[in-house]
Amino acid sequence: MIYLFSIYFLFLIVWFIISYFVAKQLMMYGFVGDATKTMTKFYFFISGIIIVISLIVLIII
Amino acid sequence: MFKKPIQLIKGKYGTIWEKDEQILLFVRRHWFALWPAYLAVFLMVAIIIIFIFLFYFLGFNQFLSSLDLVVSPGRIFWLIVFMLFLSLILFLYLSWMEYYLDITIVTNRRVIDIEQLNLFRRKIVATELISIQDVRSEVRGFFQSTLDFGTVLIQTAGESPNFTLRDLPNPSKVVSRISTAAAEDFNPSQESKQIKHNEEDLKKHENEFVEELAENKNNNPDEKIVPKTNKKNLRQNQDHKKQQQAAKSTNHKHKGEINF
Repeated sequence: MIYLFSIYFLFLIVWFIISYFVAKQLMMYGFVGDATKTMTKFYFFISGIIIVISLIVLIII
Repeated sequence: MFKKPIQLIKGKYGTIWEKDEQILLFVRRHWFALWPAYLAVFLMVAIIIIFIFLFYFLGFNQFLSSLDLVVSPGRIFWLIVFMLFLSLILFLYLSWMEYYLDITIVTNRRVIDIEQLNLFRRKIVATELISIQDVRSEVRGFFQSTLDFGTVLIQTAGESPNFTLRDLPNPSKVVSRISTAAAEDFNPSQESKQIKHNEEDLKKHENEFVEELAENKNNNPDEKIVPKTNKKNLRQNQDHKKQQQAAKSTNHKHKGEINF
């Protein structure tokens, strides 16, 4: 069980680092009035929901 | 003509164009250029469906249970499914970033091509309109012909780099816009025409002033020559002189009092 969660958390850390760099690129090179900020918010919102659901499912099962 | 105020599309960390530059064209790649992302979504969904099918319908679940693993097979299954989902979303986000930051801008001075090649690789190439020698478009294949997108090739003179703008929508329109802008830049522009017009106006006013002077001289040879246009200034000067004289006289009085 601990191994399973540690693998998942390791994956989440890598996933978050890559997502952070993508968001940073968009914030850096996006133009004023662009959809970059909205898209980044939407991405992290959807991902957050998936992560929460995954944790709940993995704990319950 | 497509014109956007510079302030609206100013980058957060500085601008790549000059203050008085005017944007004539601002293009991103055609939506079909994102086909690897669509393919990835399709493949990922297919993999997840196959995985579910294998696990629940082909008895893979029972096989894993018979192995007496410490972790339940259901947990492993859902862990892999969530990891696949998160990877898919990340891939889509990355593809969108590469698509969105890939821009071609045509201003009244330059053509700027910004290419986001991958997460840590970005390329910006710009060339002056005056150095453009040849612009042509190329539409190749079934999808490009039906969806109207293609490649625009810009050949430049000298050491300036040649441009290959891939997957642009309406390539013929882009070509006509660039060539028109280049022609406007090469010929006397509206700005220079305006300057010429202003110079002509100035000369006209000068001539009118000289004529007025001559007329005044002919009509009143004894009087001081005062052009009509400068009457206001003259009145102001006269008022100023009167004020100075008044000030002098008061000074004399004061001086006289002191001397006395």
